[in-house]
Parts: sequence; C-alpha cells; structure tokens
Amino acid sequence: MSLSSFENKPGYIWLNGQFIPWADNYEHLLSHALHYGSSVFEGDRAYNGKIFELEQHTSRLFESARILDIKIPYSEDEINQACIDTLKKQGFTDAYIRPYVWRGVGSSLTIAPRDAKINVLIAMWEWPSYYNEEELMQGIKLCFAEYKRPAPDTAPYKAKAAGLYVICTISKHKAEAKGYSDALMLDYQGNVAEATSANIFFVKNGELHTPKADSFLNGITRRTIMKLAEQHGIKVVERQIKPSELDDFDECFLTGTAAEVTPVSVIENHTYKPAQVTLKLMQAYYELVGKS
Amino acid sequence: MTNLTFDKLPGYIWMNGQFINWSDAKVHVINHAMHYASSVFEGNRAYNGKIFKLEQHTERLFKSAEILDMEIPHSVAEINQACVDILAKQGLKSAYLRPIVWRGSEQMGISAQNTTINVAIAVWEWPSYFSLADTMKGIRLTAAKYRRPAPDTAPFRAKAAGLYMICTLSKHAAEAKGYNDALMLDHQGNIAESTGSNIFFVKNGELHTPDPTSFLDGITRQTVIQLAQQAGIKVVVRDISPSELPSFDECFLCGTAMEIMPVAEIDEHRFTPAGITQQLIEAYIQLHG
Repeated sequence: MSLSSFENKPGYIWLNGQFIPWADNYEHLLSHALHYGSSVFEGDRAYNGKIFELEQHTSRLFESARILDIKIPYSEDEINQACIDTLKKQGFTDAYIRPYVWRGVGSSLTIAPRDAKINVLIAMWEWPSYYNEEELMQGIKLCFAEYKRPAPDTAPYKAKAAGLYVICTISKHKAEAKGYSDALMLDYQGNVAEATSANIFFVKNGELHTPKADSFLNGITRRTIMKLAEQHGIKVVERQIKPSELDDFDECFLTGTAAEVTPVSVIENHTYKPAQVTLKLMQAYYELVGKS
Repeated sequence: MTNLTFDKLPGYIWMNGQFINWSDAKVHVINHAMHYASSVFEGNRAYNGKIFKLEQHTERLFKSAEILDMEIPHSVAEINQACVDILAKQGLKSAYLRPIVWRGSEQMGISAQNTTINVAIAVWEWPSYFSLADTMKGIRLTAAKYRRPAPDTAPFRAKAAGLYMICTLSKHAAEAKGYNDALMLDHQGNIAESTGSNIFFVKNGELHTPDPTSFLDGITRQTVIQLAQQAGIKVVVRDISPSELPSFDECFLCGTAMEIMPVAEIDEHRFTPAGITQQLIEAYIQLHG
C-alpha cells in the first residue's frame, strides 16, 4: 500500500450518513459489489466551492441505482446536502466528487442475494486544472478501441454502473500501450459511440455533429455543451456517425465531467485541427462552471 | 447455512499470501475494483476435503485476469496450494471456495495500469441441500430481461464481476415473477445459458447444448459433455433457437454451485426430468466423490 494510494487521503468520507476518517472506511472482502459488479456511481466537479449540476448528477445516481434494482436508503435532497456538507468538511474549492452506491454484505454471496446491505458513500479529492488552454488546444490522440459498446438489450447502458467500465479499462490500456491517450469506441452496430469515459463531438462547416446516445450514457456535460452551442448559434446535429465519415470533419473534441472539453487532434489516421468552435465552447463551458 | 452475515464468519481468509482473520479481510471503499468492476473470480467446490477440478479453475482464474489486463503476483501452483491450505485451515470437507483477484486503490480512473493486483481466497461450508428425489422435481425458469452481449462488446471468456450485472438484474426479475432463475438468450436471439449456469436439453436420447461463443464455457459443462460421451450419449453443440423449446424432452442446468439441476419449466414449456438427466447426475456425483 503506497502512500499515494486512495486508501489514506486526508479528511473524511461520508459513509451511510456519517463522516468517517478517510483511512477508516473499509468494506469486507465478501461485499457483493466486489464480486458481481453491483454498484453505480457519479463523478461531480466542484469549481470555486460550488458543485456543478449537483442535482442532475444526484438524480442520475438514483436512476442508475433504480436500473440496477438497488434502493438508495436516502432522499435525493439528503444526498445533495451530503455532497455540499462533505465538500465543506474537506475544505476544498476545486474538487472531484465521487458518490458511490453499492450492494454490500449479506447472509450469502450469490448472484441474487436477498439481504445484502445497500451502502452509500461520498468521497472527494482535490482536482486542480492540470493544463492551460494553449496546451489543451494541441489536442489528444485517440485510436480505435478493442471493444464496442454493447447493444441496449445486453447492457443497462443508461446506468452509470461499474460493470459497464470493464471494456473501457481494457480498451484504454491497449490504447495507452500503443501511445495514444484514449480509445474511440464504436457502438455494437459499428457507428461512432464515445471515448472510454467521455462523449464525442465533431465540427463540420461550423456545425456540431455528435452520435445519438442510444447505447451509451447521455453525459451531463454532453447535454450542457449542446445547450451552450445552441445559445451561441451553433447548430447541433445528433445522428448516427460512421467511421468512414471521420475524414469529413474539421474539429473534434471530447466532453465529460473530468474531461470538460478536451480537443482531439488524431483518431488513428485521421487528423483534426482544434479551432474556433472547440475553443468557443471550451471557454463558454469554463465560464458556466465558474472555472478560474 | 448460517444466519451470520458474510463479514462475520469464523476462521480465516487467505489474502495476498497470508491468513487473515475472516472479519479483518477488508478492502478500502475507494478501490478500483468496486468502482470500475476490475475483478475476476472463481467458484470451486470441495467434496470430502478434496477440491474438484482445482487446476482447471485456477488456470481459468489466471486467464480471466489476463483478459482484464491484470497480472496475478503469484504462480498457478501457489494459488492451487493456497486453495488447499485455506480449506485445511478452515477444517471444511464440503465447501465452496471463492478465489478473487482485484485491482487496488492506487488509481481511480478508467486507466489503472499502476494499481496493485490483489488475490484472496475465501472458503465456506456448502453441504448438499437436496435429496435426489427433491432435485428431480426440477426448477422453473423464465425468459431473462437481458441478453448476453455480443463477443466484440464484452470479455465473455473472463469470469469477471462486471459480466454478472445483467445476471443479477435478470434473476431478480425472474424471482419477482415466482421463478427460480432466468434463461438468457445471446445477442442473436439464440438460447445461451441461465444467469450463472450452462444449459442442456435432451431430445431422442441425445444431448443438445448451445455453442459457448458469447458466454463462459463452464468447467461443469465440459465435465458433463465428457461424462455423456463416456456413457455413449451423443452430444450436439449448436445454435438452439427458442422456437425449438417444445421439441425437447428433458432440460437441465449445470455449474459448480448447482452441479446438475433439472429444469421442469421454461415459461409455458414443460420438461420431465427423466433417465438421461438422472444418469448424468449420478455420474457427476460419482466423479467428484
């Protein structure tokens, strides 16, 4: 256990209604979530002491849990307040917030346990801005992912569920091994879907094009960017996008709570020049979230 | 089974090379495995103090870990020995063994190249619950809520935690309707398996079972095929459409936990567990001792 581990960060974790010193938050090994992927989570960001789109994230957490047949023993208001309280307790202004809900220990360890305890935690860690605009505008490089997003009848894709990330980790590791920053996943039909944890947008003749979120998570940042684009008079086209179209686009960027707006310069043999539309939306996003 | 919750059983758990008091075998709540489902596991059975097909299970554990890009910091032989040792330490004869491999707490993002890889083996008592006569009544299945994902969308050859999410959901939905388990189709609409076991059908004295091209080729499944062939029963591995269900005489599930379990119903279809199912149950019991 290294000192840089997430096992021993300073401060507290909100766990089932109480603040517990960070390093004391242990779960038994025979927790259902560890063995059967029965957990859902959120990723929120706080900027200047305020949590961006907190209510939307919490609503999605409850929807994710509902999809996984997990009943959260708190109200949305209680979880919203717990996020605010934990941020204050931690004394952070710019932070990443991880609400996490999991099926824990019961009197058996089977696929469908009857009495496993449902747990909720909220942990947060500091998250400063790593790159300035100029560095970001150089863009990151993507390759095609090892796995495609599963068909909607084979995965609870509207839930932000741990189990859906297995193919993301494998695909991202393969991409990194080849020298890329991330992987572009296609959907089960072979259309462009998303990166391993961020939605994707393309710019063509001043218009935004983005895949329909019909087999992957319709990100909160994705929806925010679409709203900002419309406010700036940029037309947004949601449609199926084929990999064969990748040469037709001028700009490309990823969006997500962690990624914010991340310009893309390369998708394997296709190159993009992050430019005006990307920059405009990046700046509008920073302004909206209150990033200093 | 005991009424104690699973964090409070007596004895020890083998964890990263050491015997830890059962109730002290814990993970920090911020670990990659719980948040991103980066774990793989096995389920072994011990009968009369001997672990059945131990080497095959351990090899699959290593294969599962490799598929999820995790390098287990022990050899196959060390894990085999650890299984034998923890069974002896717990003093159990009829038991279920759960080896699990998971990513630790060093990184909390999608990419987790620098996380430690942890291994634990827990063992608990697992007596025989039912008599043969009770078992032969058969269980009831209903169509599952989810299908098995296509092979290019899931690491289906790994026994990975994340692949069980749709199984839990499908089994919950089945139980809510009064059934014991759910029958999952594959992404193409053919019959695949139940939520944690492979499926076999009997027709005119032959065994028919789906080709495991999008789900785990179970160790018990392989054993049943061998036993059938040794008994001169023809085994046909092929795509099986749900429209064929009325044409089968018998049906059973198989897996390490449930062994061979006759099926009496799949929704409106009825099966009568009979000669071939019973013959294979008896052969399986004889094999594992």
